[in-house]
Amino acid sequence: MVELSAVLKGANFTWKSSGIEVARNLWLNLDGGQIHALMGENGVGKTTLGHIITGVLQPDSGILQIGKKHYNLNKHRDGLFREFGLVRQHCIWPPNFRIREAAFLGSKPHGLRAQNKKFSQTAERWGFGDINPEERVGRMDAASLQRAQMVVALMMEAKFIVLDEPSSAWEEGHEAEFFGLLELLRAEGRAILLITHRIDDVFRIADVITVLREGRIVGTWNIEEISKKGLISAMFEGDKFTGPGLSIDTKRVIGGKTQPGNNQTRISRESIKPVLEARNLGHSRQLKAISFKVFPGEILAITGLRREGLSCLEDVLTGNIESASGELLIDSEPCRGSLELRRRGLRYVPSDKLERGSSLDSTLAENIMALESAKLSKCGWLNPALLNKHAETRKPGWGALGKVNRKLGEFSGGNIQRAILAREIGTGAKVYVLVDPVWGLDDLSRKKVYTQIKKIRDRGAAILLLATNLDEALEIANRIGVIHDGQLLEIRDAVDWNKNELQRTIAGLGV
Amino acid sequence: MIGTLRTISAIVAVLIIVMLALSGTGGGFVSGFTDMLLGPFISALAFGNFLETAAKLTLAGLAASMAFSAGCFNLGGEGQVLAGGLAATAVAIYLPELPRGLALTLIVAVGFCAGGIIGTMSGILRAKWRVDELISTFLISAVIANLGYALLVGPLRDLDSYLIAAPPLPSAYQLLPWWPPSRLSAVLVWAVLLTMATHIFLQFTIWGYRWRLRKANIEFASYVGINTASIAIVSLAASGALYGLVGAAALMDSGRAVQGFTNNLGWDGLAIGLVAGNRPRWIPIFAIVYTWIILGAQTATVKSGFSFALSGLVQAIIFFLVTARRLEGKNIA
Repeated sequence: MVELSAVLKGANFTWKSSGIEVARNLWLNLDGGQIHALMGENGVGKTTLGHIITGVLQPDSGILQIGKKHYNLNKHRDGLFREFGLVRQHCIWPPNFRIREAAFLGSKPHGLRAQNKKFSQTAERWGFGDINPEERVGRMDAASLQRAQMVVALMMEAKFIVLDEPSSAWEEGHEAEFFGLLELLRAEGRAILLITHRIDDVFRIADVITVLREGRIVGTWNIEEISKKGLISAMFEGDKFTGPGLSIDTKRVIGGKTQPGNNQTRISRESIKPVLEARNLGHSRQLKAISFKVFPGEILAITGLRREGLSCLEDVLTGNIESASGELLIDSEPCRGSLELRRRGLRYVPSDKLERGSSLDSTLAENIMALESAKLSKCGWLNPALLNKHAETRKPGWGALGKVNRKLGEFSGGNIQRAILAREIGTGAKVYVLVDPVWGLDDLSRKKVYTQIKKIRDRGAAILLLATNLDEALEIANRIGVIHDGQLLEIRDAVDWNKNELQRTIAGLGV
Repeated sequence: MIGTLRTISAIVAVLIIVMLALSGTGGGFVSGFTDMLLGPFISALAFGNFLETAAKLTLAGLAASMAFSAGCFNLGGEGQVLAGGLAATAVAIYLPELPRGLALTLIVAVGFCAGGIIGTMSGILRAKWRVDELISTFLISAVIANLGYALLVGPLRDLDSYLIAAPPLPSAYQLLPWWPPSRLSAVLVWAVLLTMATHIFLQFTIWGYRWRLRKANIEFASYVGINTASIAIVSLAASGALYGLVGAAALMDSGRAVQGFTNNLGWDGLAIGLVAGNRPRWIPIFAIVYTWIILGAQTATVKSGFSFALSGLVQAIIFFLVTARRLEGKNIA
């Protein structure tokens, strides 16, 4: 049997619209029966490399050798889609298509029944039986769409599978399922390219690691040849990374009183008025009479699976959909609809970073100023130079961001997230709803964001964190609640939870 | 840059197709091409009329662009131009004795308001009940077209004329021509000033910023607390009002409201607005090119002795090319 392998040689890629070189002389070896992790900071070209090797992007130059076949990627990429299955971080299927219709885009026509049968059989076989092929793409969250894309890659029997940041699709409680699937695929002899920024995942599952930095390959190692520390320094190269566990907690203002403390401190809330309060919020079967209070100077994390009610809770809390019952209060006053919430000072980092959270056709400056446009104008007049200056002042603290007059769509996912954070967390508000605030960020940036979030909490802000990442909740929250089957189960101080217990609760195995 | 290249290639494609059409009418390709290029410049009369038409088309293009700039689509230009013209006619008929300054101000204001009210109706339907403005503007315009005809053959009709027309405007209501015998008038100044005003509004005011955000990503605009519903109302109202102003200008240009006096200005404006896309400051340039093609081709067809709906052909090509471009970029307003 011929061993499965794909070798990418000397790929270069420059964005034609901006002339920015994002990949230079990239080499990559993918072998059957191996999980190859591709790592690096945000914006170093990981997704670009994934797209080059799968034929989505046409590089300026580069050869791909698959067995005896040679592809000059600059000239012809036809046929690559039969070899590679790509699970994108951001799904590009048309929102009005049904899953089964999107799944068969580009393949030979099948009858309706045949489509359903083929999709469902593959989904069942690989443990994705919960995906409904009749569901519309636009009605599914990003995680479910990644899982549906995975089914398509498996259905097409792709020998090479490229997974771009797949961890969001396998949230807490489903990680074992994800790693089990990867192991099965490896055992079948398929070659897997895993694009991720999660170091722990890589050391748990990968065989080979390649690190990218500034569009170039830093190196490729077998997993036993490199330590976590070595990997981190390869990724960040000289940056003063202090490692996991970095914490800046010193003093916190709780209910107007300065107290020493960190996340492990219990807070007495009897005499404090909540800033944000949900009373019996309900919405069809997805949300069942949810009640909670968020106090000044604390982070309340609600964690769980998106499809178990977390997504719906986000939409109801931020006024994107109207709750069928109950009410939301800010400073004890009822509040309805997204416009009023914003007027009352809500700051909100949404789960949907690309549609709701940012305007990709607008410049970085225009994105950053969106909440303060009235303040920045003089009798309605805006001075573009001042706006750019304002955006420049917001950039520090969030890591590298590009030129403020560039369109946001030209930035990487991590930088888009930084722009959202610079806008939402840059202003001195007193109530925040943060959904996965470190989405798409590398470890170093993640630490910086946690530092900032703790700082605003310490200044007395009330923060509701809707987290799918348990480590995040345990690291920065004061109290943690779990949502399961549309119900908010017990809320406890963070010190009273451990990860195992949280996982069991999220999975519905009892508090 | 790529957008500009595409726009230029669309214009070149239009020119080539029109030339091919003309060469098929018996005049020959070379002579047809010469007639078309030089048509607007063969006399002072032709050049003055060319500028006047370009000015009106600039206003119509700006009208369409007001809606596009906020992510709305106004297909009701024809009806709004007609409404503006007929409302202005009614004022002139019932208040014939006003002094010139007041008469001109009134006629312009009434045209502006009539178009604006119709645009507002679609805006409110959009904001309150999420009725697609593509449908509502078009349908309301269709109703206005019939209503306008009923007015012209009924209460507004000049019984002394064999035409389906209202009485001629009293002289106080007519714009003085700047360069007789051409029709060039103050409309040229309106076009220049309104282009500048639109550009300044969109680029340098907070309201323009909010309109642009709504167009770029309506979900994002709502998410950051921008009242997208009220922008829909205001932008469609402004679009309708400018179309109404075009109606008043067309009325003053023709001297009376005669059947067909709006001369397809609504659709022409839409074509120019579509080509300009996000760049209303370019509208005068596109309006000049568009006018050149239409008037030049008219000269060429007259010379070749063959007439066909050239304006319709040009519009069809532009709609086709520009719509294809927008669909490709998933940038449908």
